[in-house]
Amino acid sequence: MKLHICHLYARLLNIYGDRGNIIALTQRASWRGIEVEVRAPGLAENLDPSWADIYFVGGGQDKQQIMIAEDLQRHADNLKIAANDGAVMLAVCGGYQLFGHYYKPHQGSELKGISLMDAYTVAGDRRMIGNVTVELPDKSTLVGFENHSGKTFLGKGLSPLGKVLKGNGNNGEDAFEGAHYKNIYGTYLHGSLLPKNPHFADQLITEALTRRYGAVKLEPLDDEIESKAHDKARLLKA
Amino acid sequence: MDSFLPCLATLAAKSISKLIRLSGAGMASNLPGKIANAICPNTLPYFAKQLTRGCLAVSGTNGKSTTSGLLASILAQAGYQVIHNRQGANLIAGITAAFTEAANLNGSLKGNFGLLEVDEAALPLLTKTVDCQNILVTNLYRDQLDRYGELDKTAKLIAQGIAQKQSNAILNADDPNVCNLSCPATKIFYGLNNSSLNYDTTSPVSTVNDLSNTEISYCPHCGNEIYYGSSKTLSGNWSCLSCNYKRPDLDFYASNIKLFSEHSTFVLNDKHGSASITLPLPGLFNVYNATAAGAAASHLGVNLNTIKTGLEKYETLFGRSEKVHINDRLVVIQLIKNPAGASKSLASLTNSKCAKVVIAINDNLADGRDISWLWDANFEALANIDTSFIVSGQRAQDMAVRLKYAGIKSTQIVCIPSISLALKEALEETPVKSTLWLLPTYTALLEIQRILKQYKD
Repeated sequence: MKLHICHLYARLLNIYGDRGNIIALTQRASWRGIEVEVRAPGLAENLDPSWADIYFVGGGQDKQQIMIAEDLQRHADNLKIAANDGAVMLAVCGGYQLFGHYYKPHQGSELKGISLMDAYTVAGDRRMIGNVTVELPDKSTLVGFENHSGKTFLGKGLSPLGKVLKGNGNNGEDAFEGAHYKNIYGTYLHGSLLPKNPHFADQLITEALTRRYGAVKLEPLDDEIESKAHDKARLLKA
Repeated sequence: MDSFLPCLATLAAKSISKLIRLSGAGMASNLPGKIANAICPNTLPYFAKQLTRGCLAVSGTNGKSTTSGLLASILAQAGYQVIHNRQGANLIAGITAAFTEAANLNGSLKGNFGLLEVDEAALPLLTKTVDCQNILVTNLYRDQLDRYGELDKTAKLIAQGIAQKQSNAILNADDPNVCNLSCPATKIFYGLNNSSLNYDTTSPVSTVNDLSNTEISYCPHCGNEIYYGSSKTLSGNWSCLSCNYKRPDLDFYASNIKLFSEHSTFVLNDKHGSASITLPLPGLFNVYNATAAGAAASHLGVNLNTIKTGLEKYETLFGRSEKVHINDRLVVIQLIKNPAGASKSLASLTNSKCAKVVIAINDNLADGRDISWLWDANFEALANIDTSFIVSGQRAQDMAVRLKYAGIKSTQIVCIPSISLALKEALEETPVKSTLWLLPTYTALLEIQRILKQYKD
């Protein structure tokens, strides 16, 4: 088996340990003997929608965010085709915002997203910074760190990723965090997200491999070190 | 200005400082300044006005402490009486404390030049009241983004700090974001001249480009990625391939750089001539720090011979490539706080002989509460070192995960969150005459400093 990972704009959006998510996916697959190939298309580069099993897009600074927002439009159709076909996608922070319809800043024009998910983001008045714990529908938890001033709101048909147990989440108002549609996940959590949430990393790998190879059951790994970091993060102050 | 309140503030600050020292609670670097400012908000400008030879601020993300330490060493050689917040307390309170420490109770100052290491966000606050004729900026890396939002915002704070009193700016030309800082007065550019970089083949050391995976620069004009010359050579000589923005000409530079495991040699050049330097510090980042200090001194009118003496006589600051001997073991302490600096320290570590490594990660405000930067630093460099790694501090567990995913076996990772227990175990397991490396974040470093004092006493 081979896992194909596409890290979109790896060199422009790389600000909060986004790389850690790719490292986690890669290592957890290779520890199980699954081969991994990562491609990192940048600005103006092409994307083959049939190649990747997992797409990842991270967060960047304002200037880089604006640059990629425009470029991402070129891939909108291809990413929609892949998403409808069950490709796994994880978008963190700025990337999450661009997976929705738009980002509306305090001043200036709207930053257009690619509408992969029925969500939109507006600039908020305060920066939401701190540790976050989120409860997923299966009662497991995700831990991470958030740092955003944009407030994201989900359309009626779109499920959040989970409930906020600690921190702000999507908008600091409705106690929800992230979004989940088909195999697409959007979240504000970095920290990095996947290394200390190994169950979630494995869920993404399983969904990705199942789409290509049929039902897959991953070999369990010894996650003692990861679990300790997860448990420690749950105890931290927001 | 009436001297009554500043004198009272000084008396209070000095008394508190003494109390803190007597109680053994640690270095009195901030609280005395806070108290002085509470009594008299004008304490800092009152004393700064007495600096007859002026005032220079050092700011930027990495290298502030070492650069200002090197510059203090040069200025001492040049006959300056320097007031310097050398304990790295670089917010307004810490800077105020450095002045009250150097003041007499009658309100006069024992010193004629202010050398102030200033946190990026505190710089505009400082220059609002204090006239810094010159401001040196080392670099702008990603650092503690949870505090300031992001790099562009940090750059704006520094530019505001420079503009307020129309200070001259001494700028690292090799960093596009530093170059781009607006400055209404004179700009002096320093950097490395890379045409003749040689590495000592017996101890190959990293180049700037080793960091390219984790630390990428973007053009401050158009936002595209910056190109740093060929990937095989060190090069600060950057250009933007999209908009033709490029490194300006250098007023002061280092050339013929050779890096060794314990020191480095290079030539410093100003408009009058050049001098060969043997710097008692390892690593390319320290060549940058020395070049920055040299450029500032040269701008103040200090000649290259004096600069040479000052740099060569420099004694290491605590926690900045510092070496201490404890129970016949060598302990090397290197502060880590952001991806660029940590990757450089990890590169120096892999090039040296070390028996044991402790990595201590705290997530207090002064460390940065967001530790996701650990994933942007190149801990993969440690994967081939045949030792066990002790992870410690408030986020020891996260550090353990980072090492595991960097390819280090779980059996090689020992998690001891208590820093004092971690140090005890590490010293016990380091054979006599061998080297123990400590890589702490800022508040972990302060803790280590207190603990090691007990070992030395």
